[in-house]
Amino acid sequence: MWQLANKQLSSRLLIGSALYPSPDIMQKAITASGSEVVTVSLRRQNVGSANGAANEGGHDFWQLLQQLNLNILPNTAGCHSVKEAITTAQMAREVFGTNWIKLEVIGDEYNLQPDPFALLEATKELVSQGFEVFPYCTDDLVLCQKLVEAGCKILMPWGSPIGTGKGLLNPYALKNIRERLPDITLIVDAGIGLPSHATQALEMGYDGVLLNTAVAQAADPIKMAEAFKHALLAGREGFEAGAIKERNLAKPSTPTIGTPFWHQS
Amino acid sequence: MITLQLNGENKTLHVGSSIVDAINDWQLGEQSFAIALNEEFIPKSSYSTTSLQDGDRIEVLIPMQGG
Repeated sequence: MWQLANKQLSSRLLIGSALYPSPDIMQKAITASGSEVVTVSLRRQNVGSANGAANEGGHDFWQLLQQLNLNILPNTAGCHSVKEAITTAQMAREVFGTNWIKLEVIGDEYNLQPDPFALLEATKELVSQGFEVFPYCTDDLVLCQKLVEAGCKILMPWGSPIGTGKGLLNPYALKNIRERLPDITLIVDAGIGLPSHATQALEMGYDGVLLNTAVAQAADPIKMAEAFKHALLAGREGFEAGAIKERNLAKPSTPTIGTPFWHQS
Repeated sequence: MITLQLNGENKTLHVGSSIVDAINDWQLGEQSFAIALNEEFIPKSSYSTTSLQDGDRIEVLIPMQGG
């Protein structure tokens, strides 16, 4: 078990609810992943009878997700300003009945990079309003330190840009954050493409991984969800077991004592 | 009558309408939603006491898939 904010969890995987081929596959994949935390968003209700089907889709989705009885992590996806993010977070708290918020304030449309300045400002305000802020941030150490000073107990630096599947582009920066902020819950959010990427994050000592596209858009999302479940377990156990130090000089693993005469010169 | 924007679409209401009146008039239904008025969150407890003005912009948001 591990602690995420005020919850005790078994799984170290946080999973998204978007982009699945169907609601049924979404439900089965989330279950197969073993995840106990699922991310959701808020979007406009379509107005008028002609849009009834679209509203039903959102309504059905929410009913389906509630059946899984998981912890809900609402996001502020699509927000580009402090004001938008704060208003969306307040609306999410009322709709979803949680003070958890995955805070996204996008600064660049091409790579969906978080705006660090707006993120910090929005974080300060939301923390003062009693939110448990899960900031989606870059792997900049100083930004991470400022977010902690603002009251964050959890940080979610990116592995690489959202949906790219490039994995951990800057392991040095991620390791540095882990080493410098040993008491903060760290989750790699975004950019994960392969189960091995998730393993790598947990081998570094990261507490968890948040992903969506890697599972939802896989050829077989349910099987990929299971693969990630195993990958996270492997990564965590590898971290806890204590890895050997990397070195340049080769050293034989087979004992040299008792080698046959033809090896002795 | 006053004219407002509901999720980007023009709608009309009687002068003096509250958010409760708007919800009933627009048949927003029983499902989960939250409301922002002119980009400010309005908690459910304030729906009946929040009166709407000509030109107001209302956003009604519902749960949706997200990553």
